[in-house]
Amino acid sequence: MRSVFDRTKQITRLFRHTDDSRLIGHIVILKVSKKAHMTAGKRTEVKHFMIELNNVSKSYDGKRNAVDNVTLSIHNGEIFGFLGPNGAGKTTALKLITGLLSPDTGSITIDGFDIEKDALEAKRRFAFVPDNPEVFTRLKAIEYLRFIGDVYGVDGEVRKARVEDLTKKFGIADVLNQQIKTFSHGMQQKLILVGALLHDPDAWILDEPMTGLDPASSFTLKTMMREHADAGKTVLFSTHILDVAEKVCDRLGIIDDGKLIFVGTVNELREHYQDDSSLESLFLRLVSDAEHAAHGDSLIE
Amino acid sequence: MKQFLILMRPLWAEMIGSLSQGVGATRSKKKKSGKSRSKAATVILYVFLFLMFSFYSFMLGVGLTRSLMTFGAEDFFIKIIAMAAPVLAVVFGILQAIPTLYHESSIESLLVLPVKPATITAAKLTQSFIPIFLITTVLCYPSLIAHGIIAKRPWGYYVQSVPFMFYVTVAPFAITAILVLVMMRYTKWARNKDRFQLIASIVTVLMIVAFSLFANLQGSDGFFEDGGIFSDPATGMLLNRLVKFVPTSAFGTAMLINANRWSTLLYSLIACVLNVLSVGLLLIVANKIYIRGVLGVKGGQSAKQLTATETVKKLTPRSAYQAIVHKEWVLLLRTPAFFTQTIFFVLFFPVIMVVSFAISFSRSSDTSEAGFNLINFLRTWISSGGWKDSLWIIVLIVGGMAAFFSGTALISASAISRQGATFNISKIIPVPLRTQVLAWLTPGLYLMVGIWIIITVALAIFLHMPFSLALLIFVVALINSYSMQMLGFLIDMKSPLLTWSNEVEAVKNTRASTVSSLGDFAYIGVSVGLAFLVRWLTAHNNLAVGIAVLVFYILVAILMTVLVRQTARRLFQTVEL
Repeated sequence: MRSVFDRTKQITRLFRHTDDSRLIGHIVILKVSKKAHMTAGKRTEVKHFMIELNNVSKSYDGKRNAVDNVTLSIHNGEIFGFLGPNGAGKTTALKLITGLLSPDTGSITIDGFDIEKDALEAKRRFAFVPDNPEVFTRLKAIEYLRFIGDVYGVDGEVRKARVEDLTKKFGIADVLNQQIKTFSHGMQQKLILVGALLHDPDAWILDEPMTGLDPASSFTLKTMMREHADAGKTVLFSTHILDVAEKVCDRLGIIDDGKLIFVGTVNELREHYQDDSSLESLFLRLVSDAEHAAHGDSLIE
Repeated sequence: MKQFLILMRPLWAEMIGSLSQGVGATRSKKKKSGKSRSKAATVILYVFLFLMFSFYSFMLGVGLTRSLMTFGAEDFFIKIIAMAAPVLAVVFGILQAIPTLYHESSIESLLVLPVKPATITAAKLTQSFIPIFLITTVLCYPSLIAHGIIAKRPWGYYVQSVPFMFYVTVAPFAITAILVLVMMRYTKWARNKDRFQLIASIVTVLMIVAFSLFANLQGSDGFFEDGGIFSDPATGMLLNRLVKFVPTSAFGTAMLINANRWSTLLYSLIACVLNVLSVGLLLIVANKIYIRGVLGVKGGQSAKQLTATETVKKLTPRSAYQAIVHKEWVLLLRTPAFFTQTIFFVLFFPVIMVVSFAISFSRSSDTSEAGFNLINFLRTWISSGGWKDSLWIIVLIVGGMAAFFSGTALISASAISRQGATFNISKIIPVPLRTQVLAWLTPGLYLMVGIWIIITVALAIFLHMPFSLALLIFVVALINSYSMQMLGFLIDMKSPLLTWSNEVEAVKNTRASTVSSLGDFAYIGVSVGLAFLVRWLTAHNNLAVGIAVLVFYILVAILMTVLVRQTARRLFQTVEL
C-alpha cells in the first residue's frame, strides 16, 4: 500500500500539470481549457457552456451531502461521462441538473437558463433518460410517443419521421401498438430513449443508458451520441462501464462521496498518474486516494 | 414452519409498510423529526379510524339489537353478522387476493429463494388473508359484543364470539381464493390480470348490489321455512336457509345462539371442521397451481402491428393539456385498481343508490298499512311549491350527498399518488404546472359534472321537479363536489404516496383518501351546525338559512381553489422522488 507521502506527491504533481486548477476540500479538480478541448482526435470549437453547475450541494438527511459543492461546466459539442462508485452521487447530480431534485445550495443552468427559475425554457433544451425506465406502463408505445411529442410540441411531420427513424434504429418499430407493461426492461429503455430523442434536444442527459440494451442497440446509441456531439450539441451520461467511458467520452467527471474528484480527459488522468494503464485501474486509484483523503489522511495541507 | 415465519416477516413488513407509507409516514427522506411526526400522525390516524369504525359497529349492534328485541327476534342479529362477514370476506377477498397473490413485486423475489413452493404459497395466502380478517373484525366484532351486552347473552357467547369471527371469514375467503387461483391458472381471459381484476371487481360489486336489491325485494314470508338441519323453531327458520349458502356461518350462528347449551360445542366443532376442510382444500389447490399461475401471468401479449397510415393517425398532434388529460383517462380506464376505486365507484354507486331508494320507496307504498307513499308525497310537496319553504333542507341534503359521493370518489384525491414514479415525467416535461394541475383535475371534475347531470335529470323526471329546483340541486351538488375534489387533491399534493408496490395503495392507502373520505363527514357536520345556528339567530328564517349555507359552500369552494393554487405553485419543489 502506498504511503500518504506518495499520494501527496502524486496529487501535487497533478496540481502542477493543470493550467486552471482549484481545490475543493482536500481534493484537486482539473479544469480543461475553455478555449478548446480534444475529442477523440477531433477538435471541436467551444461556443459556450451547455450545462453549468455552480457550488451545488444536496443533502437528503440534512447531515451528509449526496452532492457536495460541485462546480462543473459541460460544453457544447462534447460527450461528458460521469463516473463513480455506487452511491457516489451520480444519479443525484443528474437529477439536480434535470430539476427532479432541488439543490440546497448553488445554481444550475442549461444553455444559460436556470433550472429552478427558468424551468420551462431549461426543460425544453434537454432530454433525460433515467437509470430505471419509469414510464406509463399501461399506455401503448405509440401513445407514449404521441404524449411526448405533444408535450414537447413536436410538429406532426417531424414527429412521424423521427418515430419511424428512431424506432427502426432501436428495433421497436413492430411493437408500437403494444402496452409498455409487456415490454422487457431493455425494450422499455429503448422506448424511453426514442421518446427522449423525439424532440431533438440540444442536451442529452442519460443515466446509465446502456443498462439493459442489447449490443446492437448499445452500439447504435453510442454512434448517435457521437453524432449528436459532433453536431455541436451535448451529451452528459453516467456509466459504470469504464470501457464505454474511455471510448466514448471527450471528458470525464469522477464523483465520489458526493464530491467531484476529477474532471478532465482520460489522457490527463494518465498523465497525472504517469501511468498508461486502463481507465479502470486509474479510476480505482483515484477513488482510493479520495477515500483516504476523506478519512482524514490529509493529502494537501 | 420456521421458513414460513421467516417469509412472513418481510411480507408483514410489506403490508404494514404500504399502510404507513399510505398515510405519509415514510414520505420524506429529508428530515428525521418530520418522519417521527408522520409516524405519530399515522398511529393517531389508525387509532382514530379503528375507534371510529368500532364505534359505528358497536352502535349498530346496540340499535339493531334493541329494535329486534321488540319483536323477540334478537337472534336474527347474529345471522346478519354471520352473513355480512362472509360478504365482506368475499368482496375484499377478490379485491385483495388478486393484487396480493399476483401483482406484488415480492412474488418474484420469493420465487427465487431456496424455500419450498408450498411455504411461499402459504405465506402469500396468509398475507392476503390478514388484512381481510382485520377489516371484517373491526366492522363486525364490536357489533357482536354490543349485541351480547344488550341481549344479555351468557359468558359462553363472548368466548365463542372469538372463534366465530374466524369461522365466518376463513372459509369464505378460502373458497374465494380457490376460485381466483383456478381461474388465474386455467382460463385464458384471466391470464390478463388487468382484465381479470377489472371484470372480477365489477361482477363482485354488481352481485352484491343485486343481492341487496333481492333481499330488499324479499317479502317477510321468505324467512319462515320449515324442516332442515336446524329444528329449533326459534332459530331453525333462519338457519336452514343460511346453511345452504354459507354453512360455516349457519353453524357459527347456531354456536352463538346456543352459547349457554352444550350443543354450542357441537356447532363449533362442525364450523371448525368445515373451516379446516376449506383451508386444507385451498392449500392443496394452491400448492398445485398457484406458482404455475403466477408464472403464467408473466407471459407477454401480442398486438396487431400498426400500418403506416395508422401510425400517422395515432401520432396526430394535440395540445399538451389534451395529451395529459388523455393519458389520465387511459390510465384510469386501463388500470383495474384505479378504475374500480374511482370511475366505477363514482358512476355506479349513486345510480344504484337511486334505484335502490326508488324500489324501496315504491315498495313502502305497497306494503305500508297507513297507505303512506313517499314518492307521491314528494311529488305533491314539489308541485305545491312547498319545497320553497324548506329550501335550506334541500341545500343541506343535496350538499351533503354531493360531498359524500365526491369525498369517496378519490379521482382527484389520488391524482398525484397515482402517478407513482412517473411523477418524475411530470417534473421534467416543459409544460406549465398550472396546465398540468388542470389536466390532473379534469377527469374528476368531468365525472362529477356527468354524474350530477344524470342524477339531477333522473330526480327531475322521477319527482316531476320544476327547472328552478333541478338547477338549484345541480348547482349545489356541483359546488360541493368541486370542494371535495379540491380538498382531496390538496391533501394529495401535500402528502402524495409515490412509492407504492401495487396500484390499490396509490388510491386507497393515501393520506388524501383518508382525509377525503372522512373530511366530507366533518364538512357535512359543520354545514348542518351552521344551518341550525343561522336558523336560531334569524328566528327560523328558512330563506336566510338556505342562503347562509349556500354562501358557506361557495366560500369553501373559493378557499379550496386558493389553497390548491398556492400549494400547486410549490409542488415540484416540495415533492421529490
